[in-house]
Amino acid sequence: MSLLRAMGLLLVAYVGLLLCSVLPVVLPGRLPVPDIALLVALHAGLTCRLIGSTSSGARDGRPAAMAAFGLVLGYIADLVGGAPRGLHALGLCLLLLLLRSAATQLLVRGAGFIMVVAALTAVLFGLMVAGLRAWAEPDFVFGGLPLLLGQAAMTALCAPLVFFILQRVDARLWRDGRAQGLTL
Amino acid sequence: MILVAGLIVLPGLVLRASVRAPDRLSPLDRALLRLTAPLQTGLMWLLDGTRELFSRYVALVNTERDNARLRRENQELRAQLLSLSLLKSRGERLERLLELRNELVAETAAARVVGVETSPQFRVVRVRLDRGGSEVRPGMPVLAPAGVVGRIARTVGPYSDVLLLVDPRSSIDVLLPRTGSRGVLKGSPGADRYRCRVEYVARQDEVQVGDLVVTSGLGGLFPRDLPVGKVVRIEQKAYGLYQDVEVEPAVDFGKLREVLIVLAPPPPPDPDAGRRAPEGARGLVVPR
Repeated sequence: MSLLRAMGLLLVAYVGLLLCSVLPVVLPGRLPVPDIALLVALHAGLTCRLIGSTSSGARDGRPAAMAAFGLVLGYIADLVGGAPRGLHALGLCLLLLLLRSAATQLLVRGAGFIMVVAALTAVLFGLMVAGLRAWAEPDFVFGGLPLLLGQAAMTALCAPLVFFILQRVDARLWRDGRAQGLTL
Repeated sequence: MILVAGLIVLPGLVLRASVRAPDRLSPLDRALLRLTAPLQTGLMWLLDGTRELFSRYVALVNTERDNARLRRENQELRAQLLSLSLLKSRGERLERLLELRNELVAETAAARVVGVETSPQFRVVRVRLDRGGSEVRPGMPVLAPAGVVGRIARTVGPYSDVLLLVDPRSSIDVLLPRTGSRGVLKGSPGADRYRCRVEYVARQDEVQVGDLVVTSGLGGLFPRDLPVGKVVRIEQKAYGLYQDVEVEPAVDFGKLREVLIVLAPPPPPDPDAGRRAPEGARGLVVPR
């Protein structure tokens, strides 16, 4: 993953996280907010397919690069969202490594499929984060499956839009990937 | 591989440390939070302002329609309220009239005031009722819940005109219950006020201002003990057998709406009637 692209994706994630941090205050009722960091990680993970043996493609999918990206993205998510520092950093780090492995088997195209994948990933990621938090904090009480499903549904609804924005960022900042058809 | 393992272990350690001491922030944490906090504040202000603007705009879009609907509802409710208050007022008047009718134990007929004639000073000088024909005859007493109104002067088809007790042509035999004085109530000339005077009240009778004046039942027209008015002025001259007593009528002729006409003239008063008549009854039962 090129540094420029990583910076672009992190910037989008940062703005999205800022927006999501104020939405619960502004919106009426208690609507769940989408997990923007997860969507950015999902996009980054799904676009790191190791197609061919070009040096740029291989470089984009290196495990260390993916883990580092997940680490920074998670760190920002923790700070902006108010979660214990390291929680999302660890979770997204692991998720991106998993996605890197799965990316070769997955071809995500179309808004519907993106939403389905986003919903499933959000549920799994939510359970993973709960597990990580329970590991780090024995007194932690799980918020409940309905809350998790609500956030997953909201994440799935927002996924097409977020992916569209991220594709636009990729189109500008990731010339190698665009040339090789690696974008979604 | 070692790098990847390090990248996994590092956040794990940070997580454990963060859970143990959540308030301890690194300089990088502080820097990022310092950058984030104003942005969050600005974003919240922007979103809140947008939401408020939108909600106000939506509210304004519906305001005109709501205003028209509420104005229409308001008019309808006002009309209903007016109608109900008129009905209430009429109901209360009729209730009082019914009470009087039950008290009289005489045969009466209710009538509604359909016309009034007023003096240049806006004092009622003649009242027209919506009841006439064969059952109503001149001379029949006309009563209101407050007291005596006058008597029928003439009938014109289904209507009848009332000679008010303040008319100079009116003459009613009255009694002042406190002193037992008797006299004849006559209307006073003058179109600017409702006044009448009691004639033939003996000079030695100690009449006071505020004394009640009622019908005596003599004369064969009016049932006895019906309120007529109150004494408002007494004038004793240096000569003569009688004193001048001015009376203000009990009835406000300007507010008359419904009245009772006593259809059958009561028989002459019976000295023992007080003992035989039921408690609170005024006048006599007149069989038809």
